[in-house]
Amino acid sequence: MKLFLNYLSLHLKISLEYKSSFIMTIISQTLAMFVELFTVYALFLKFKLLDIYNSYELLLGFSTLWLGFSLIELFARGFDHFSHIIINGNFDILLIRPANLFIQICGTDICYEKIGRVLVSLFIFIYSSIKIISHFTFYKLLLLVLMVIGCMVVIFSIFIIGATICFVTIQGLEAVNIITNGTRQVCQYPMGIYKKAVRVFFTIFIPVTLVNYYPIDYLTGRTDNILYVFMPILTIIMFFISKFIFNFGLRKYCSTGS
Amino acid sequence: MKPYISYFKSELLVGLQYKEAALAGLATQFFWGILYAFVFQAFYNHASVDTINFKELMCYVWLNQAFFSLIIFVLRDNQIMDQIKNGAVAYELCRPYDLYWWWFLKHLSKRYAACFLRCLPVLVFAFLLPKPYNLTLPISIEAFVLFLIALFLGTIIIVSIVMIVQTISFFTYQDKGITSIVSTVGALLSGLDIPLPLLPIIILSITEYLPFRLISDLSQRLYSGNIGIEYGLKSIGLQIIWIIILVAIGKLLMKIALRKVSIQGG
Repeated sequence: MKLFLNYLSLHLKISLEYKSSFIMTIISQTLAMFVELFTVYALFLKFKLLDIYNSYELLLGFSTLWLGFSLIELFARGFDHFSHIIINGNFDILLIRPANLFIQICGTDICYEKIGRVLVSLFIFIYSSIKIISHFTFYKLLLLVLMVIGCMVVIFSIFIIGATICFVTIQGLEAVNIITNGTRQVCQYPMGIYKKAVRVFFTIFIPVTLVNYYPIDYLTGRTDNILYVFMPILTIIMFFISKFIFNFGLRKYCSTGS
Repeated sequence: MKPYISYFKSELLVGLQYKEAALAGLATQFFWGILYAFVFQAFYNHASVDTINFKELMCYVWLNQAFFSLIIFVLRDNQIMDQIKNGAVAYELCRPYDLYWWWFLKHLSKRYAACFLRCLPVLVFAFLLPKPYNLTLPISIEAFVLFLIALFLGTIIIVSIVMIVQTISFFTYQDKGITSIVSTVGALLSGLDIPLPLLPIIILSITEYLPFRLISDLSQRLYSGNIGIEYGLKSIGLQIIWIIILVAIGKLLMKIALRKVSIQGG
């Protein structure tokens, strides 16, 4: 953990070296998120769906996903850029160090530019949950925390699986980007608008509905089933699977360095 | 004219070299098209809108995907920006052509070379898809001709906007911030994020006064017959006026920039 904190401060120093560029990037990244939110909202307005869907639920689902996504992009960008580490042979250096491999990979790139997205989506997340929840209970607060953590776990798992593919292909694949960005594109809308098959896919294979769709029913009080609170914990299964796949790929890994 | 044409040819050949990159791009375009189809289908299952029907919308989506590299704001590889940063721009200044048009043509040929490889497979794929999701034939021959003209002029507009943005980075020596802000807002206002007819009316009335909707929104809607021939002709006239304005601004900026330019590197 101390190692990771060290990485954090190092990368912060790097980012602050180029202040104006850093600030511009934060602004543009946050703007891009607002544009996405705007398009979601515009579509709901156009199709008159706001009578059926509560707009705060829409905001909560959206912000949960983006919060989890931006946090992982902030801390675990190294997995997203894993092909770079492999191509230039740096991965071998990481392997021989006596420290946790995952932390080292995360530490190769901390993307502080995402901080704007994190703060804004956190704000929307808190605001919309206050609007939705009529009276707070311990379980509801716990669920809110679990939703964010669960979302991070799901996105992190996708990143890990994407990185594993790099063991085989060496080159980064655009296909991985399709999965991450595609998931975000589909799941930033309330999952209720989709057909059941889509929801099932995003429950079993990429369990996003477990963190930003079903739990909202508990928060609004539509259901009292206590099981809903612990639903986000199920995402840990995906994490273990992806970690297993990663370790399997690691054993097959041949160095590219010289 | 000759150096420009030979540059276009060489750029096309370079593009053909990177077949994997082209294939990967193709896969991305297929996937995003299908993804949009899914999302919009979900909305159309609940209600319909009077500004555009699902068939026209699918044409819009697939044409956007097929001609993606023509109408997108930033292409990945930004040679010219690198030249400004590392000082190689000095060589460019020595060439006996007008720098504005030289770079203009460079951008244009890059876009067409990238598009040349990708558009046909995407179009064929989109035609072959099952019924509600497929790309249909153009509504009439006149509409198709207008579509081609509008798309070509739209490419000129986007390149002239890119030229302006790029010239500004002559002054700041960093392109990331401004390019990404312009491309984020531009993508929204030109209908690349979601088709313009699905945006609220307030935004639509703003886009009327901006050049962005003339980039691809006009041509895509002409194709499916979402807007009539007469309106199309008028808009094409508007496109030409915008091209003149944007090119004039770009050339003026370039003139000022070249007076102030300092060469980086040693």
